[in-house]
Amino acid sequence: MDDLRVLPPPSTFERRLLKLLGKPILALADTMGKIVILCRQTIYWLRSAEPRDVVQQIVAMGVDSLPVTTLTSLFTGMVLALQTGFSFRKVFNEPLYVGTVVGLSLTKELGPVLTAVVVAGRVGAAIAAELGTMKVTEQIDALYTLGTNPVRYLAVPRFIACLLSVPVLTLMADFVGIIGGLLIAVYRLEIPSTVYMNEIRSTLGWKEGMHGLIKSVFFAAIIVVVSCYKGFGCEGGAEGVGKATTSAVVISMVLILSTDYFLSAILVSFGIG
Amino acid sequence: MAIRLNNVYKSFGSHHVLQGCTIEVRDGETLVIIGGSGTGKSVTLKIMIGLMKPDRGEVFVDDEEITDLNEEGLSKVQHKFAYVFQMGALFDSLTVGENVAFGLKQLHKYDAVKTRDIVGKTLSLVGLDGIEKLKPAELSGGMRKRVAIARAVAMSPEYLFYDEPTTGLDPIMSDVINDLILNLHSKLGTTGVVITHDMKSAYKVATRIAMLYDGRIIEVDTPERIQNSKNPVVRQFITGSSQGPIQMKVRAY
Repeated sequence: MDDLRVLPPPSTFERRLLKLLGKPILALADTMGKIVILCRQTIYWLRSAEPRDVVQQIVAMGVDSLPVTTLTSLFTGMVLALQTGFSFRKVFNEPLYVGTVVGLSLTKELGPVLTAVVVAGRVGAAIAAELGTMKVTEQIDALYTLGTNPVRYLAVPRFIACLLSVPVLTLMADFVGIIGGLLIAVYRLEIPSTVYMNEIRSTLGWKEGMHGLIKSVFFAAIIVVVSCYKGFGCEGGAEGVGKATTSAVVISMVLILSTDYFLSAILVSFGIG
Repeated sequence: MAIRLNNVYKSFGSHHVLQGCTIEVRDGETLVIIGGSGTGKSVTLKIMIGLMKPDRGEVFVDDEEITDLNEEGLSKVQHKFAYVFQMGALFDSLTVGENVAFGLKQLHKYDAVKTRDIVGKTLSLVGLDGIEKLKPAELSGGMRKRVAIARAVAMSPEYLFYDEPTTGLDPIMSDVINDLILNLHSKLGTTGVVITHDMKSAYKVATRIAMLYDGRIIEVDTPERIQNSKNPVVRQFITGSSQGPIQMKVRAY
């Protein structure tokens, strides 16, 4: 304490800086703390999840998202094959490596990321809107008074369902995307299907698959935690629900894309993929 | 055996809602808390049942201090309470029957047969037999309130809390709800806390009326005495006059 007293008083610049940064930093720390508490509670209640609720959520998140995610990856695989084929034809006079490019980029990057982004838009928004509406209509408080912890009843089934669904959706997206690439390779670029499939087989091992799947588990956790946090923290009627939903989707997407880089870097440094 | 708030403070940001609120709910009575919109009536109720923690002050439920309890301890205390929320707060993904059964399954762990039995009985207690299969969205405002009351009563609580039970209802339905509160009180012998700004309802159901103003309870007395109160603030509120010491914040255009 004595040492602090002999320090000179803060300059105007320092004071302004503190004023400018103080609030956002406090708010950020507050948010981080609350997210950590939510995660802790979710993990604490993980075992007490009702299987019926989990299955219901898997249907709502996984099964109902399947058409959108497969359609997305089908066209992604197709356009990837098309662009690679034509670009490489310009460079090498021949559409080389189409299978390699499609297979690697889909399983390692586009499959997990695009699936996560689609799920964030569809499922994240639904979670934030549903929990947010429950919060502003006092249904969350009602859960407490009826002896039920809202995290256990609402967040845990969604957490488990999302962590199970997204990797499965990613696997299916990889598969469908590769098929889409195959269609274009064979019918548009006139590459024999055996050449395409051989390239896929020789480049894709379990490491490439794991690389994508591990990332998709992290993305799923980001989506469900951010959306639940935004839903539970919702305030201020219909407008609040709208804001919570928007920010849940935007924050999830930004976090997915930015953590993607760091996760990829870490996984590659561990020799996975 | 009672609930006591002792010198409770609560603020949200720079907005000081409760500033030294002291109040006692006696066993077996129906205490009505009156006060203007946004004066902290709901906050007081939520502090009583541990849904919110006060910034300062003590809350006693049956002589047990609840402000420092952890979640487990708090949930034990909350077994004694049931809360009727302002807009009902029925779970709209569940049917009426599932709503009323919710607490019975989660908290009391009753089996299906017993639960169904209690659900039927409590729904007929509020005059809504045979609507178990409907969704809350299909109900009128009055019915929704009565289902919310049924859901609370089904828990067979020691204390029943009502957050503005007659707000937004037509005068006849309001009186039906008042009768229901009185009826449940005499039949089940539960202690009730009602917050309202509907004075007709307050006079009808109250054993005692407490007026919340400026973050404090300024007067607690029987309905007759409150009606003849000399306190200008209480007088202005119960007569519903715009002239007096209570200044409403009305934006001047």
